[in-house]
Amino acid sequence: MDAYQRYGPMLLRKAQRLLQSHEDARDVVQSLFVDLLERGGDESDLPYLYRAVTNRCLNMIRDRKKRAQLLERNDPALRGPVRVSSEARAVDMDLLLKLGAELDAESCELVVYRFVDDMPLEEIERLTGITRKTINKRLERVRSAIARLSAVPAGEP
Amino acid sequence: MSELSCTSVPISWWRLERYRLAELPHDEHDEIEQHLAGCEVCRACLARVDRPVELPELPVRSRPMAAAKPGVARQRARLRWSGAAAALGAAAAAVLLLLPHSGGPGLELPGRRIAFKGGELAIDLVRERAGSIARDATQFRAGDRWKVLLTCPPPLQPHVDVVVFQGREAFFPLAPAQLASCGNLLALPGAFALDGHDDVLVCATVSERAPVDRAALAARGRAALPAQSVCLPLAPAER
Repeated sequence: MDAYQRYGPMLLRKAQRLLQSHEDARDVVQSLFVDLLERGGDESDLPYLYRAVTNRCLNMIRDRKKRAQLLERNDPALRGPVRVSSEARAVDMDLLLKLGAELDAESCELVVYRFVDDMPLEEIERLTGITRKTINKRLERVRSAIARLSAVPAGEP
Repeated sequence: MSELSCTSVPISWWRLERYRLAELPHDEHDEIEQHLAGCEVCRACLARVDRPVELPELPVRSRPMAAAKPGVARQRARLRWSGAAAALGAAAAAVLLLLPHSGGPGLELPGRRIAFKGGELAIDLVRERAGSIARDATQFRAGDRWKVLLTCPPPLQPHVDVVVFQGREAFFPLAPAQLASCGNLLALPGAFALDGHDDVLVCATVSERAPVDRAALAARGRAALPAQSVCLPLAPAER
């Protein structure tokens, strides 16, 4: 079995959960593996693949030009059960788009791991190499941003 | 979107997927099984993992996965390394030592590729920057992630190590490995980050008989690089 067959489904589900769009998720996963294979990268390094999919999805979320497309194709059912929320609010696509416009790339990545992938801090630390202390600090800022953004009605910038 | 309550700490999607792929250690696997037995919402998440998905076709063929040699940890540690101080990842062994001498005038550095055992030994680097991959990068920036690709002639099964020189310091950002078989552009396990404002030399060194002597490399610097070493220089994007 090749790495794409083995890990592709997992990565596709992850991209679907994050982008809440079948088409956009397929584009992300397919382009990641194409890039890796063309450049001789290691397509069997699962932690690397997981982070790469996360960041590619975030690139789309943070891209203002893609915003309308993401909202148009949004299927909330793809998000799956929500088990971890922040400030009593699930991190949905509306909130992700707002956070993407406001936070730096690394903080956005942490948002995904904590509030979309439901990872506890020690797992995030193992995956990213970022210390728990730094993760905590960044998530405190994220929580403040979420509290503030939650005061803005959904769909408004 | 439904919001349900887990009975304790939710099993993350990352772990659920690896549980299903049977890629978790036994104790974690058992812990998850126990949790799932009593938690409806995490079972609902696992049910989603079990749903079939249709993968898009790739225009290029993905390679079969290489089996990891027993004893070679499939370590995917990512180490953040800076010129001033090294931060060690939890899963990898790395050593930071200050060198009394990192090479004198006239020291010829190994090139990127050399003839080796009837074939070729070569190093390539793949840089990931904000989701974008580059194979011919010559500059590094904080936040970039680097992978080492090694080419060596089959059927050798050499011990491999990666050493990074910057200024008077040497770092070993990846765990030493033994390849199951040589080949073209084999990605060594793990990845690393680079930092600092000085030029860097990334070297891969191989040995057929035993793991590479890190102590000698750390003590004597580039002068101690064995003949079967290949190196690539990188410059900081900002000085």
